[in-house]
Amino acid sequence: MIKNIINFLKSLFFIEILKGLRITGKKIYKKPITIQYPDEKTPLSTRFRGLHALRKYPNGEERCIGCKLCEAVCPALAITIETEERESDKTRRTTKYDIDLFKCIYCGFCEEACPVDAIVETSIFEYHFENRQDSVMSKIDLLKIGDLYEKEELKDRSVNKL
Amino acid sequence: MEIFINDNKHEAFDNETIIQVTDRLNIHIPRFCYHKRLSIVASCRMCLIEVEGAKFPQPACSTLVREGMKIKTTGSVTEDAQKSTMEFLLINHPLDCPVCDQAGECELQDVSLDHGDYKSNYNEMKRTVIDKDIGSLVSTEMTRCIHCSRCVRFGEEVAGIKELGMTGRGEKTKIETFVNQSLTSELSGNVIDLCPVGALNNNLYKYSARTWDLEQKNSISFNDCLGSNIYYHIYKNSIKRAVPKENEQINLSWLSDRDRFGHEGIESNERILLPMIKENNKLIQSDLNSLYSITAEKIKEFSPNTTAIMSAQSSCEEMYLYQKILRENGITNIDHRTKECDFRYQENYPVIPSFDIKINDLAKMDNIILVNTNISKEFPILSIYLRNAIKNNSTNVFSLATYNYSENFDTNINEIFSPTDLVRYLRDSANNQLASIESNHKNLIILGPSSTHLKNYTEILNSTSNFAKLTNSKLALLGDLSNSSGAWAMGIIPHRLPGGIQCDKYKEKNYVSAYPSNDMFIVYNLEPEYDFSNDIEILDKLKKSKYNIFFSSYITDAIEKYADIVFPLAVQQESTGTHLNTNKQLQKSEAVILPKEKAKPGLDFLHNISKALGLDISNKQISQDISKILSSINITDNYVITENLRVPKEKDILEKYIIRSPNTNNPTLRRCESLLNTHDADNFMSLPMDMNITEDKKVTLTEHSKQIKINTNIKTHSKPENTILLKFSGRYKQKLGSCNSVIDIE
Repeated sequence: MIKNIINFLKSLFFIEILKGLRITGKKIYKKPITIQYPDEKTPLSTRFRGLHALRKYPNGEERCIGCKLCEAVCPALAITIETEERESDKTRRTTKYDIDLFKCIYCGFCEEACPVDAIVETSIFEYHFENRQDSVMSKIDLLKIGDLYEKEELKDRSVNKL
Repeated sequence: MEIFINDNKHEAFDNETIIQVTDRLNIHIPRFCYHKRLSIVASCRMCLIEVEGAKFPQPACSTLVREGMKIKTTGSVTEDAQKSTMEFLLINHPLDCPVCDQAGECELQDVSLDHGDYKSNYNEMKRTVIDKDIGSLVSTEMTRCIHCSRCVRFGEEVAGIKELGMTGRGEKTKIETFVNQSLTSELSGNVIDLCPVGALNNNLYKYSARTWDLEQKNSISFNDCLGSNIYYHIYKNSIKRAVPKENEQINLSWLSDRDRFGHEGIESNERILLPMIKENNKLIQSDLNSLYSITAEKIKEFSPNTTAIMSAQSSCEEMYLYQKILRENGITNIDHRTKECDFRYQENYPVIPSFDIKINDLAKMDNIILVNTNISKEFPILSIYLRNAIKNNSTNVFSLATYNYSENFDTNINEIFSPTDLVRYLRDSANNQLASIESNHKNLIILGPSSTHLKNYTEILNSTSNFAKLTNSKLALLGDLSNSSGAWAMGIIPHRLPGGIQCDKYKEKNYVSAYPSNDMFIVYNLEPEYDFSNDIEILDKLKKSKYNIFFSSYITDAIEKYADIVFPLAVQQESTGTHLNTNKQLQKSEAVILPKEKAKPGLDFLHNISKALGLDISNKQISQDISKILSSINITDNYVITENLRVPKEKDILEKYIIRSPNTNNPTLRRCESLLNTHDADNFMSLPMDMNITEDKKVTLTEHSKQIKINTNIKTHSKPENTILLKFSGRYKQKLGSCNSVIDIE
């Protein structure tokens, strides 16, 4: 009976609404935490694991030696590699290096397994495909990304150095 | 005696070393230089273990066990010794595991992980060694070598040719061949397995896969009649490499190069991948169902005048079904002896030609006579047994050859004759060096497949058998192909049904005699250009015949030209079947890879054709029949004595004969580029010297009024007398011509 009377009085004087509006009033003069995504971006960790890339040495030689350790360690079986002896210098090289981005879980194990720091996960986190088969990144695509993001990669690596 | 290993009591025998005892008991001791089939050198020091009472750790591989010996394979003394040995071994070993093919199965890697330390005190430069080119089969990466000397000892002790050796001392020690020669031994591939690190690698496998990706499957060798046991390593439905599967009765731990590298041809671009039929003089793709019915129709249409020839490389099941289909439909002219040209012996031939004794018993023989058999090239595995026999039992080996070849063991007598002189020599055995062979000794005569290609094979067989009878010797008849014994037992011969039952109503004595009245050819896994004793004649007959049905894995010019129907046959590695080896062991080989594209195992084709002909027989029925047949055969001796043979005249006609390389023996081997690049792939043709061949590089032979051009190096041999040997440098494309025709040389 008394509970009902208190509730009636509370609703009569808009107590609940005022309580809520107090939060609004507090936040209205503070800096908002949301960002306007395409125009604004959140800061990324230097260790962010985004889109993959294959790096090259400064002299232009590809780093990957086709050891298949990344393929072996990949928990999602997203990497497919074929290797052979390169005619010109008799070294072990890949003829195929495919990563299926639909399968990839971005765990970063490939990056960790690589003995020559060839496969890396760059800070690129925004990309899309228009066809289903585009999700498979070929060696050429990966090397291209590597070329574009080499500078950023080096910067990130210098920060992450132990 | 009793010894204590890690405080547990164990039994050991006299003259055993510690490592032999622990290996038997499955107690692990790390090792590099020790190998159970090689001599002990104790050079790597990896097997150092603590022996109670000894001042220092002792090498387990060379320390003999004593009564009451107390050994510790674990504990601080052993572990410290192993750790420091490992540190020394790793001083000069490069850290290139990511690119090394051995990674994942590397003994150094495993031992380093289990027994090594994680740090090294060594901070200087590592040494590098320049790689050597030692041939097309074995690739080298000599910086990785840890000088265990297994490969060197293998050459000395097993292969019998000292090809690899150690030069230099201390840090400058190197493993190399003498003045940059390449490996010539037919067993050279075994050093790949022996090498505990990645210094000696399989050149075919190089950089193509990683060990952890490979799937291991059992199989047998299809390249010689011994049937060596093989593990094929498969990755993504392709055979990446072959390694030996241990079999104490056949190949021990070894494999011949032919078996190890003989899978290369499977990937050849000459593979037939589609069923084809001829229309407007061109082979076009067809569907299998219509081919089956056409084949059935044609078999019915041409039935008595059909020649059906089959490779002795086929499995017993294929052979049984093949002859059953054909015989049920009135075709009796079935043969597998396409490389032969003399068939007079056939009535007396054993039902299953075999080695007669177990291969292991070779070591018990007192005298071994090799008749025209180059054991170390044709049967490299047998040469290991022969070497052991000579070493352990001081067996006398007599070699009677028709051309000059070298063996990897010591022969007491090494004579070279022309084939006619060979017969004469065997007949005259009482008055020549063979007289020393006595009948109370254990004697064995080995007659190899190269004799079967000669035009006087019957005489050779006859005189050999007579000599064997006289001296109470065993006669070993080695087959040409993997299932030669099976082909005789399964009735792939005109005059016998499966199981050696005499066939009453056969029309032709052999496939050649059927030529004049021939309407149709059914050719099973044979290539007209290379698999026949007289390729010119067979090509001519194929041209004249009304219909030709080919079952083939590879396309050749002749098949393209003369085939009316081509069935895309899967190679042996792609099909399941049993093979009867020369020890009379029936070995099953499962398909290790799936057939390429539309190729199918031969048994599938034969089953469908038999259904189209109204004959239904299940696989189970076939294997039951085969085991019934094989158990019913009475095993007799191998003597083949034919009556009423012509006595060779004192000065017989000039002889021309062909010596085929075992490395070009079957269609798949002919397409193994790396094997063809070895010395062993050379075919020879012996020609009478009277023909006045000048030392010109080009020779044109005219045979059956057809010209064969041969670019060759003429090599004159003083023996056999009055002949020269023409060498064909490894290309299977070279046409060999017939064995017994008249030749003109321009």
